[in-house]
Amino acid sequence: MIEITDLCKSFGSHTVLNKLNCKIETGSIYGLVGSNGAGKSTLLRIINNVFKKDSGKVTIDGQDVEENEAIKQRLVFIPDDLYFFPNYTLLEMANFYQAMYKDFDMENVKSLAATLKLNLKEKIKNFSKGMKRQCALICAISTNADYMFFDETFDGIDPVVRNLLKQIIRKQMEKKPTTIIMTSHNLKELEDICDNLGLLFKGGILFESDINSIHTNMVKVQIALKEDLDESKLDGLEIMNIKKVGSVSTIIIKGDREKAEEKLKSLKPLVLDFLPLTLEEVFIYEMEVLGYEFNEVI
Amino acid sequence: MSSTKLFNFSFFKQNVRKSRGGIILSLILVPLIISIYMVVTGMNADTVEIISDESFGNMSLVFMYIIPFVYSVMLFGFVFKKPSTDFMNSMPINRKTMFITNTVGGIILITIMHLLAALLTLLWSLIYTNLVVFPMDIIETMLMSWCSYVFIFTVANLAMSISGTVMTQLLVTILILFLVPVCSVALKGMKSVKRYDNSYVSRYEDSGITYSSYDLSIADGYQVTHYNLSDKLNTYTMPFNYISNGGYHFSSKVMIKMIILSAVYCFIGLQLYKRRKMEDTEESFGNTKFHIFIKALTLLPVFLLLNIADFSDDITPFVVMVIFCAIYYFIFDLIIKKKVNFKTTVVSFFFTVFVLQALCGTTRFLIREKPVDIDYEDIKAISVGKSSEIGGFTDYFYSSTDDDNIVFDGDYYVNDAELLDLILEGKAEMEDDDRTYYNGYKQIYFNVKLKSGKTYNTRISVPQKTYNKIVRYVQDDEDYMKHMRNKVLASTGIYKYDDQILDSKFEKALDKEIKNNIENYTSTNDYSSDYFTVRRIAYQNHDLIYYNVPIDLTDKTLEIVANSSNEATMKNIRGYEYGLSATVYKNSDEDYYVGSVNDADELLEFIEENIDEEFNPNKKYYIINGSLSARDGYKSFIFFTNNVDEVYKLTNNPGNQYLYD
Repeated sequence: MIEITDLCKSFGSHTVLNKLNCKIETGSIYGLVGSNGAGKSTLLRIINNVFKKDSGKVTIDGQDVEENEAIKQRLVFIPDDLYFFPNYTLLEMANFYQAMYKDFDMENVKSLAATLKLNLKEKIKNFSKGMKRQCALICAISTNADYMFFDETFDGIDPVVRNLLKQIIRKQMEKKPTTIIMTSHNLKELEDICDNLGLLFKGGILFESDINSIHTNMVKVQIALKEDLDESKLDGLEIMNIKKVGSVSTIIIKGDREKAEEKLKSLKPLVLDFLPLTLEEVFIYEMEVLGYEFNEVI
Repeated sequence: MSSTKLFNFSFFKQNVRKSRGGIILSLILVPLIISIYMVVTGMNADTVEIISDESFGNMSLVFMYIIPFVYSVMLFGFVFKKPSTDFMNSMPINRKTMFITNTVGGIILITIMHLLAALLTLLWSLIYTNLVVFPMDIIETMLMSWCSYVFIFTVANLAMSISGTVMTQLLVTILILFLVPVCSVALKGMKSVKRYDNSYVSRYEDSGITYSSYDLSIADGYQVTHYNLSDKLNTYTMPFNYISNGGYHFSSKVMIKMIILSAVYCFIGLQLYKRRKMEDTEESFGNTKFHIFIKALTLLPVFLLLNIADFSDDITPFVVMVIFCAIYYFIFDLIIKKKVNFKTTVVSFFFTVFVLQALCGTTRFLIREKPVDIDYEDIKAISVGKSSEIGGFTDYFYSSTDDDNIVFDGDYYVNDAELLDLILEGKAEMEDDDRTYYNGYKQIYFNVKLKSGKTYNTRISVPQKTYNKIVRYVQDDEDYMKHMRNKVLASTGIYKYDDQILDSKFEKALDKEIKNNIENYTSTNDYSSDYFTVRRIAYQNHDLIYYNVPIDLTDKTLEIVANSSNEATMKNIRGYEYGLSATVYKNSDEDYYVGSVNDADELLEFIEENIDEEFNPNKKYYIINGSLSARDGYKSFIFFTNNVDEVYKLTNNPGNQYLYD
């Protein structure tokens, strides 16, 4: 488990992380979202020993990560701005990783390169942006590290390959219990792969939840009554938002669906539809409750 | 902690692999250039080339300003770019291991380079017989060079730990290497008495009334440091010494200093690297204040050096220099930061100038020394000759002091008032009478040790006749000569006459002649020394020492040199093809030129006919010095003969009056 306690980091007078607290369970895919400059990359760099923290504590399975080579053997980090040695091929880069990681699987590199149709002996500098990211992901996954950190994971990768990579990541998790932390400023990118989501804003985790409960804890209802909707009749439900267009009202309710359904049916509606909520909508309404404009945070 | 945690071979191998082109190139090219340079020098000159610090060390050390820095950038360059910083630092290796691995690895590369250079040099010397190598010289030179490379490498690594760009690393490296020595030299200059102030050795009678005083300053005053007589051998590190001393000189003190400093810089570098803020990558330094401080620091030596000079009469040079500094201040930001903040630069410049000038001006006022007056009674001992404690200035009278070193030893102090008077009176006589310049004079090193423990040294001119008296005086001192015998013959040496190394079978015989007759040595004629002097070359006290021995020191000496030279001549003239030219000399203090040879065939015939003639050192003799092109290359030769009448007929100078001397 990754446990972050009161983590602070400033660049000069600019505070990036301010007493950040977070727990990431082992064996899950954790999506970290936030606007540009929210501190996502900085957080990953601190966990991976690239940056030094100002204060606070970061532990993995109870051990401090700072200058801890044994722990670093269990971590792999793919930053947003990729780096490959000049004139190196994918095979040569894999050789470098193999020299650094004890559990590195070279066969896996060959197999994944074949799946993604990447030439192992082609110089990486000749690859497209998306192909370079695939190379980095192949090397990272083949390390068999327990914790994988992918910053702006699918940046520049087309939808087909993106789905393929998601499958590869899931397969890796089936092969070996792995904890994956991904960052993105695009919620849709993470929606179908993450188990948990955290929203980073102004140096702290503003909102955190697992994907399943996000979807089950909130319902979107379209209702039409004979008369105008009297909001006082909705007492007992946690209403997050109501929008009225003519006689049809769209209500966002937090809580159990069955309870909401029972209550709304008692109003004898002409129309009562339960609609699916996108992750983005969930976040919008959660942010509104917390007093933030969604566009402000993502 | 286990050793695997301190040095990660896999990481080093991979790190080297990514820069393999540059590293392999440097490992091959540098040793090749160093060794080939010497071979080419030896072949071009077609003379015996003594491989020494003059060629080997200097050539090797030229690269010390480039290679260690380049290695540091190759191994640690990833810290200067954000993507590579992320990549390398996220690898399963901690910063301590990373730093130690790269540092030790870099030192291994430097070691390989030096071993290759030494091996290649020894190999060339085996292939080319005209290259003479003193193995200990090569070993010590390589050791010194290795220490210098390692020292600069550790400095560059330390600079990397606090720098965000390669340019900043270069700047900090230069500052660490040169700031302290330059400031120290500048402070010494500020401390020194004015150029034309005099220092005296004064003699007092018991009553305290001055009996006589001798001006110890040098009339034509070309070395300020001589005035306060404290120009001890400096122990600055090699990068500074190499520039200030005009080349390589071995010094165990300097070597130890560099080793200790390298260890200290390694430790500091490691601590700073562990704490390094990787987010400062691609910025000059972590913050603006530090950038301004470093920039100000670069001006410190300039202002210290400016304050050595006296600008009280004309301030224009000072103002011009300040304007140059202002321009530099802007260029500095452009190079290091790639942008200039006009307001900050102007304000910080004027503030820096004010603080530095106030600091340097006050320092100059406080530390300025007065001229040295040495009480005659305070002198404990004196010595003549170049002391090993002296260093750092150019020897303008190299050949004459070379002659001295078989008679004098600057490190051998004697308590002898008579000798002191002889030297000082000679000095006074030299200054009183301009004619002595035309009648001949000699330069000698003169060292004074006081009862207080202080040692002063200077170099003074004395008339030739006084010089001869001084030589005679020490040669009459049995203890002194015993010391000189031991000193000159302390190490095994080789003998070089003109361009030829004398066969080793003659070495012992010549050593014996020096041993038995050192007190008969007389100064040789400087410009004719090539023909009338045989040189004993030995590697002694970390340096190649050349002892000039007159070929007529004894009859036996002359006989050995003549026989050896004639033997070599026969070999050299074999295979003659064309281009023979030769000049005939005789041994005379006044006029040694006889004439040049007209006919090559006649000369060759003469040599062949006379080669078996027994050379008699007691008879009149001529020396034929020539050169020719043979089938196997250009050759030079020297032939000794007692058959002077016949040789004279071969020259273009018949009727020369000296023939009948």
